[in-house]
Amino acid sequence: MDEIRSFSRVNRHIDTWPLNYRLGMWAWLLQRITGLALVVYLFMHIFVISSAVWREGGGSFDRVLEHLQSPMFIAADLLLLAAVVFHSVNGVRILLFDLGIGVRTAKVYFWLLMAVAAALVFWGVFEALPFILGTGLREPLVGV
Amino acid sequence: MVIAEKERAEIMPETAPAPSGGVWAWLLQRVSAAVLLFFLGAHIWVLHYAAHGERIRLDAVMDRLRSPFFAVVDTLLLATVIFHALNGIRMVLFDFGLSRGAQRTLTALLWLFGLLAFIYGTNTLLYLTTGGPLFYLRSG
Repeated sequence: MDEIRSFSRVNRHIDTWPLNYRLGMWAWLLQRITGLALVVYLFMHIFVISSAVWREGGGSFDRVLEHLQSPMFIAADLLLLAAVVFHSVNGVRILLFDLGIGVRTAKVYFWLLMAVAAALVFWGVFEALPFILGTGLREPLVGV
Repeated sequence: MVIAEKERAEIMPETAPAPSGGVWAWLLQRVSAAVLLFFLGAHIWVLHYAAHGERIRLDAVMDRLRSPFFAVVDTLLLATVIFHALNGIRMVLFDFGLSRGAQRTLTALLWLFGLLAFIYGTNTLLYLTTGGPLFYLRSG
């Protein structure tokens, strides 16, 4: 039997050498990478928001949230948006493929959906820009 | 000539079925993904557009959660997203080729972590909606 040379040392029967990648493998890899990043974000989000709620003292939740809505955080939120949008849109592509839709025109579908993803991210950037530049936030209307 | 899948897997390991953890994992990952498209979209929409331009404040959040619709949707969102996330982790780790014992241990640990995270999150949601959570956590 030929000697098995593989990129992975953990399971040598899986050959995931990036030089052999084509478009679909990059999509698979990015789906997993964004997935892992989103898992980390998810549990951070649950923990941070919950501990802000439980924080002692009047108005402390609002103070924490204000800190979390500062321009730097909003810019970081755009990275999160890009990850969420890519993961979702690629996931939709996978769902469609699993139903048999678009398998033969796979490349077209991929780039079409990536165009949708880019549009969504650009929309998010457009919406977020005033807040990053500091001109967007206004105090809530009291008593409305 | 037809050879059995097992024999073929021995000769050509790359044709062995991916050990990602079974049909239910695969199916429920898709189902939870579809559900999440809706719930997560609603979550982002509500939080960023319902009070567009205003700072997020606790009383606004509690007002929103007062309606049972949002409370239920948020709880379902929490459960679905935790499941999708940990099931994804399980699939990624299984693909490294774990032994049966490791698979069982990992699955049990993920279930435990998921349930704890869900209870923690639901506790906060209960506090926000009814003021009567399961347990109090003072911090800050």
